[in-house]
Amino acid sequence: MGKAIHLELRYPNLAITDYNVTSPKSQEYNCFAWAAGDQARWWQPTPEDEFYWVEGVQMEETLSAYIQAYQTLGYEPCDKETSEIGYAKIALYVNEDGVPIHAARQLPTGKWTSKLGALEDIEHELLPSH
Amino acid sequence: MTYKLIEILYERGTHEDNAVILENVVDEFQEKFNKLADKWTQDVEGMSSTIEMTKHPVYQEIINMGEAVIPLMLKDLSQNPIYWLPALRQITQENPVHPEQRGKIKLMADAWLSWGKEKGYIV
Repeated sequence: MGKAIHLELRYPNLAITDYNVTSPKSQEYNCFAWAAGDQARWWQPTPEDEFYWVEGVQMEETLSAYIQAYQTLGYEPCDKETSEIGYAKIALYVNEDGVPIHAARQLPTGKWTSKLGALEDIEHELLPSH
Repeated sequence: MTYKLIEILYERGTHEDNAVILENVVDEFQEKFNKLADKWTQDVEGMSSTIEMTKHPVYQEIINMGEAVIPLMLKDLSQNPIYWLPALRQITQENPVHPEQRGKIKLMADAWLSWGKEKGYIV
């Protein structure tokens, strides 16, 4: 689907990297769901908003809660973003307070796939922040 | 919503035709909501955390418009289901979403639309 100027204006780093829009806009799922391979639900650990969260995992917006959520799918913490044969990887982005604000999933090509909030999905290089 | 508008009519203390004033007040209210919603959407549509989205001061301003804004949110739910779910919860302190619907945005929006009909917000 190519590049999108409205995304580059919102995320200036995109303009200086190689990326490709891979879906239309959707409010059906967010990046945390997309990283888990779920296109049917919006993942959010906030009990008062009643979005989906993994059963048995702490319902709080912390890095450890998100790591636990992905661990239920078989992921384990690692410290290298490089592609490794036989492994799928998820990168979690946190804000200055350590609160997860984005997740991206690595593709077999070594590139990453992200859902941008209520906007499109993109295939991209791993960026320091989105 | 009616009570709120009547209060505004009294505050204005005018002799103009009440129906016209009422219509103008409704239009102004709708316009205010649309402007705030557009600004907020522009700022947050790339965010994945509804907590981040709802912290935005403009979203709080919309919530502070109170119960009268509920019909406008319900009207916009079919176009933008994700945006108004937290606000509806916050304003109404109610939760019509069943556990099996959690995270399924269209079903969550449908639950709120049914709630709106039941409560008389949608005619």
